[in-house]
Order: sequence, then C-alpha cells, then structure tokens
Amino acid sequence: MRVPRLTLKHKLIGLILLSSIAALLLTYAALLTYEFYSFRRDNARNVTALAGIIASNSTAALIFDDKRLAQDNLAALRSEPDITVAALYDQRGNVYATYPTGLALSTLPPSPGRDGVEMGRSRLTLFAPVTQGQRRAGTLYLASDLGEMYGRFEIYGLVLLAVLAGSMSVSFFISNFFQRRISEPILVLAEMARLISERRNYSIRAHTSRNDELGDLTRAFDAMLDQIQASHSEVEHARDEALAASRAKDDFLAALSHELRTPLNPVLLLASDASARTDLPETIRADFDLIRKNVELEARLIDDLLDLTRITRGKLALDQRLIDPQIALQDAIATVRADAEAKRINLSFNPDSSRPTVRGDPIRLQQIFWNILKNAVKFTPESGSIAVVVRSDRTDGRLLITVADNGIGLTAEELPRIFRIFSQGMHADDGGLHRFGGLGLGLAISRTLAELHSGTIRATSRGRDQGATFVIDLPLATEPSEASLSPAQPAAESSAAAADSTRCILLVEDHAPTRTILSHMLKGRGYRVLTASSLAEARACADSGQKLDVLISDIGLPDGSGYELMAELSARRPLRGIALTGYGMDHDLAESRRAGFTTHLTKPVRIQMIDEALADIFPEGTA
Amino acid sequence: MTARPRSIQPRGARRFALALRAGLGALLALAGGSTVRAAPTVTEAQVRAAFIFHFTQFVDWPPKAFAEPGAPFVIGVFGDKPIDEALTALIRGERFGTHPFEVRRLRRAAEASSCQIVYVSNEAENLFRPAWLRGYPVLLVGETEDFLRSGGMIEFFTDHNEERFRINLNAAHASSLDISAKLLRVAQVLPSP
Repeated sequence: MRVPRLTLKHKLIGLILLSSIAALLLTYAALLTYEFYSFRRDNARNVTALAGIIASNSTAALIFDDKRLAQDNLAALRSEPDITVAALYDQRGNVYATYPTGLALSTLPPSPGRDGVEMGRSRLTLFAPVTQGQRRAGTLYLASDLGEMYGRFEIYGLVLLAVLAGSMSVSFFISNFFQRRISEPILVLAEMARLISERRNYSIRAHTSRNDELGDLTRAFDAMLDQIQASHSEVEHARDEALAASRAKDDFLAALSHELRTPLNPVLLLASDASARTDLPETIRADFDLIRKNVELEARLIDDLLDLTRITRGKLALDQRLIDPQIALQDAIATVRADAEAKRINLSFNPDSSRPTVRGDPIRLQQIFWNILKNAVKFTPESGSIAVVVRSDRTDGRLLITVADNGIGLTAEELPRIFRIFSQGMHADDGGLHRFGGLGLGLAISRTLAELHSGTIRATSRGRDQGATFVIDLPLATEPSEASLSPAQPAAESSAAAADSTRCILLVEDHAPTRTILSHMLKGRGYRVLTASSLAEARACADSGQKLDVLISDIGLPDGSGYELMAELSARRPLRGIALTGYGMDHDLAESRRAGFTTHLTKPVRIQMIDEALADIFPEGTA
Repeated sequence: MTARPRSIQPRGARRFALALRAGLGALLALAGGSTVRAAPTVTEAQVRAAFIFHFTQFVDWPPKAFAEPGAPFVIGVFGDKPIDEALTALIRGERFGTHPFEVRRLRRAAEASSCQIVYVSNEAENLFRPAWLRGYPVLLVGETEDFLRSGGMIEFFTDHNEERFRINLNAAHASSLDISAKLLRVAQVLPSP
C-alpha cells in the first residue's frame, strides 16, 4: 500500500494549523464550560434574588391574608419573561396565589418542596421561604424557563465558533506565509540535489543571503558542492586518464600482437615447407623444423598475451554451441603428440564412449586442453607417461577430463599458485632460470576459459616428483551435439575440375612477404595463382574472366573484409574458400561459414595446414 | 431574605402558624361556604388578635418606648374580652426582641401610656380617646369609624367579609412609630398618598 506523500510545505502548514487549532479548541472548550456554569449560576442567582424580592413583598399579604395583594405581587413577574410559573403557598402548604392568575393547581407542585434552587434540564425551579423576622409565613415557588439562557448560550457559542473560524483562517494565512520562509530554501536545496544527481552537474549553487540556520545549511550545501565539484573533476580527470591509458594499452597490445605475428607468417610458411621437403638433407630439415617450432611457440605466446588482455578487459567472447569436446581433445592431443613422442612419453587416451556433448566454444576448449597437455608434456621427464581419461557423470551432469602425468609434480605451496597470472611453479624458478620457459599464462587463461564455460580446472599432486593430475570439469549438455562442421560438397566441383586440370587459386593478402611466399609455394604445388593485396585488386582479378576455383583470403584487408569478398565472388560462380585470420581479429567461425569459407585458419599458418585444407577441397589431387 | 431550614423553625413560629390557620379558617367560613373545608370556627376576635400580634412585626418602636431592655412589651386592651383572651393565647412564650409580651386588660386611660399597643374596642370607645396619647410611642388600634380621625393609628374594618384595616400614617409618625411599607401595602393608608 502506498502512503500518500506529504510535502514539507503541507507538513509545516499542518503542524502550525494543528497546534493553533488545538490551542483554540481547548480555549473554546474551557470558555464554553466556564460560561455554561457561570450562565447557570447567574441565572440561579437572578432567580433567587427575584424570589427574595417577591417573597419579601408577599409576607404581609400572606400574614394579613390579602389574596389580591399576593396575586398582584406575583403578577409583577410579567416583566420577567423567563419566569413561567410562580406560586405562593401559605403556612399550611396550600396554594395561596398563582402566576399566571388562575393557573390550574395540577401544574404546580402539590406542596412546597425543600427550599433552594433546583436546576433541571429545561427549567430552574426554586422554593423560597416567605418570612417576616423569624417567622415563616409561607413559601414562594418560581419556575424559570432555561430556554432563553440556552439560547443566549448558543449565541455565545456561535460567536466563539466564528472567532475560532476567524482565528483558524488567520492562522492558516500566517502559517502559509511562514512555512514558505522555512520550506522554500529546503525545497530549493532538494530540487538542486535532484538536479545534481540527475545531470551530474556539480556546478549548480543555491546561493542565499539568509541569516538563520537555513542560510547556514544552504551555504554549507554550497561549500560541500564546491568540494564535491573539485574532487569530482579530479576523479573524472583521473578516470578519463586511466581509461585512455587502458585503451591505449589495449590498442597497443592488439597492434603489437598483430605486428609481432605478421612477420612470423612468411617465416613459418618457409620453415614448415622446408622442414617437410624430402629433397633437402635431413639436418637442414631438422633445423627448419626447429625454426618452425619456435615460431609457433612465439605465436602461441603472443596469443596468450592477447587473450590475457581480453580477459582482463572482460572482452573475451565465446562462440558457444553444442559440440563433442572429445574432438577438440583429440585435436589437442594430436598437436602435442609429436613433442611427447620426441621425449618418448607414453601418451594414452581413454575416451568416453557415450559421446558426451557440452555447450562451448570448440577453439577455446581446444585451447584449454592444449594448455593442460602441453604443460603435462613439459613437466614429464623422458620416458614418462601421460594418461588422458574422459568420463561423463550423467547423474551430476558433469564431464571430467583428467590429465595425469608422472612428472615432477607440485608441492603444497605451488598448488594454489599455479593458476595465477605470471606465476609458475617454484621449480620453474629453480636456479633463477626459466628452465621450462613460458610466461605462466597458459593455466591462468585456461582456468578463466573453463570458468566462462561454467566449469573448473583442479590440480592435485602428492608432492615433488609424485606427478600431477589436472581435472577439467565441464557441465554436460543435455541436448545432442549439432551436426558436424563438414560442409556440403558442391557436386559441380569435380566436373569443373575435369574441364581444366590446372586449379586456379586467387590469393588475397595485404602482407607482401606472406603473399609472395605463399604464392610461390602454391605455384610450386602446381596451382595457378592470382594474387591481390586488396578487395579492389581481387575484384579486378575476378572480373578479368579467368577461371577461379579457390579463394584464399586474409580477412582483415585494407579496404574491406575477406567475408565480403567471399560472399560477393561466390554469388557469381561456384567457389571454395580458405579464410586466413590474424589472431587479433574477431574470428567468428559461424560468420566465416556464412560467407562461404570451407576452412578457417589462424595465422601464422604452416604450409601443411593449407595443404590439408586444399586436400579437403580437391580430394582427387592437385593435378 | 435567606432560606431557612424548616427543622429549626422555633416553637413560636409553630404556634403562630396554628393561630393563623385558625384565623384563615374563620375567613374561609365567613366567605360563605363556597369552599368546603373542615376547619375549626375562627372568631372575628381571634383574627383581630392575630392581626394585632402580627403588627408587632411590621412596626418599629423607638427605644424610648421601653423603660429598660427587660421591660415587657405590653398590649393593652380596652373592653372586648374575647380579644384579650385570644391575644393572651397568642403571646404565650413570645418575645418582642428582648421584651416578653404581656397582655393587660385596661380599665383606665392612664394605664395606656405604659403600653406599646393599645386596642380600643367599640364598647370601650368612651373609656379612651386616642388624642390622649398623642406623641407617645404607643400603637393605637381601634375599630370605631372615626378612630383614625381622632388620632388612632390602625382601624379595623370589614370589606366583603374580609378583615381589613386602615392606617393613619401621620399619627404614627407623630408618635415616632415606624410602620413597614409591607404593612402599608396590605392596608388602606390615610392620608392617601
């Protein structure tokens, strides 16, 4: 229930009015009470005095038995309209004379009552002794109608009431006037406070020249506002600076990451190509492979750094959908298998056969798994073992992915710290050297990613050299997984391939070294390659009337996005596409598919990844 | 005039009441039987005796009227034995201020000067002339027709069967007697104002 809001003004008026009305009413009641009793007393006195005179005048008439005189005496009461009935009783208590003359005896008391006044509701009656000296000659009876007294009393009350009403109206005007003196400055302050909080404009001031407490209040309010304004502008300034600095830092990091990765592209392409070339000597290929690994590690570190800035800015967006996490897990295992085999680590995988599904971002889940696995490989000595076990608990609705190794393990002190940013286990600092490398971001990022998936990552270890177990705990999805990502194969493709055995690839990439090397490599693989560095150039190539089979395009281009280009070109001819995105870009697989890309690769890319993507597009081979 | 509780009404008042009742009873009887009331027969003498006795309440005597504070208030009666008796019955135990009442049967005029009231009945008209006591503080009450003219102060007469009286104010003043206005109102006053 809503209590009606009483304004300050009404409260003040009400207060003043109530107190004055209460005072007036009390006065009114006291006056009326006093007057009522004084009226009655006066009336009784008057009637008594009158009775005294009549009785005194009637003594001789009674004593000397002069009925006429007695009648005349009573008849004098004509001048007293209040007196309605009068009678004289003789010594024996018999009615001797009446007023008005000839009044029926039945209307009179049959015998004199006790001397004195009796105040009734509507009339006053009185018995007065008629005496001469010490002798009683009879009794006088008078009845006075109180109607007139009440009438006068009523008039008196009405006059008082009128005075009361007048006082109340005067009081109302006075209170109305004075409440303004009190409430107006308060209302001004209230309105000001409202405006300030609404508009956040701290430059408003009330200003007053009053000398009372309200003036003090207003001045204090203004002074307070001065301080607030000063500190507010300071705070605002500081906040703006901090925000600008933070934005600048983020922008810088994004740009830095992009700039750091871009030169890696040609290096990785070259190294990955060279390390796989059978025409090179084994030692050279091994060197190139080392370069490739380090470039990939470098790219990974840059990715982690960028993820970190996104996590701290709360800008990490997940592309969540129903997926089979074991696919991402298998991909991650495949990624680290080479490293594990190099250390002769026995990496076993025990999948859950019930094909559990979770709601999540496949790339991010793969990132989690990869981080944990990479960690396990890193901290497991040669000939160790790593066991990956997936178990779904449908009663709890949880999916548990356990990665257990028999490596160097974790001490009780290290356990709580390993998921913190920039914090590695103590063993990593042993000897003051980052023996195991890395920034220590992987686990922190993984835990945050798991939490974004409503999951957790727990680490347990019985201590140093006792091995470590990481459990990734994710909520199971109740719905089955979506259809796998394999796009429908266009049927027209093979006939197009049959028409011209030389596959034509349009390569759009604004980074010249990457474009040159990739173009060179693709040509070396027997493809015809057209290159463009922008959307405009790509359109020109497409319009030149040449046959196009595949578009390999960077997404971030100087004059538009690769998505636009793919959508535009595939609308005119059957065209397959491979998207290359810088990691700093918002790579949205869904958008990529919508635009018509078959494969989505994140730079820097190994040439083998492009080979695989092309092999998917052209299953019958390049030539 | 103040109200007075009846319970402390003195004995005298009750006796007076009895006497008055007797007088009124007589008047009612004389009125001619229009009112039927069981009342003892009251004689004219008894009514006049009561009136005379009541005059003492409406007349002020000068202090010189009494020889001493304890001297009796004497009501002298010339002739008319019934009044004498009725008065004697009335005054029993009564006092006029400090003065006890006394009723005397007068036979000689000389005795009259020591009275405060002198009643002269018709048959005693020759025994006493009011003029004789001119200047004396003696209330002279009579019933002869020229009693007032001859210097009397109060004269009884009968009007429509009612016992009434006239007052000669000049004579009273001449004798230093102060007659209450109340008494004047129930009387015929000579000279008429």
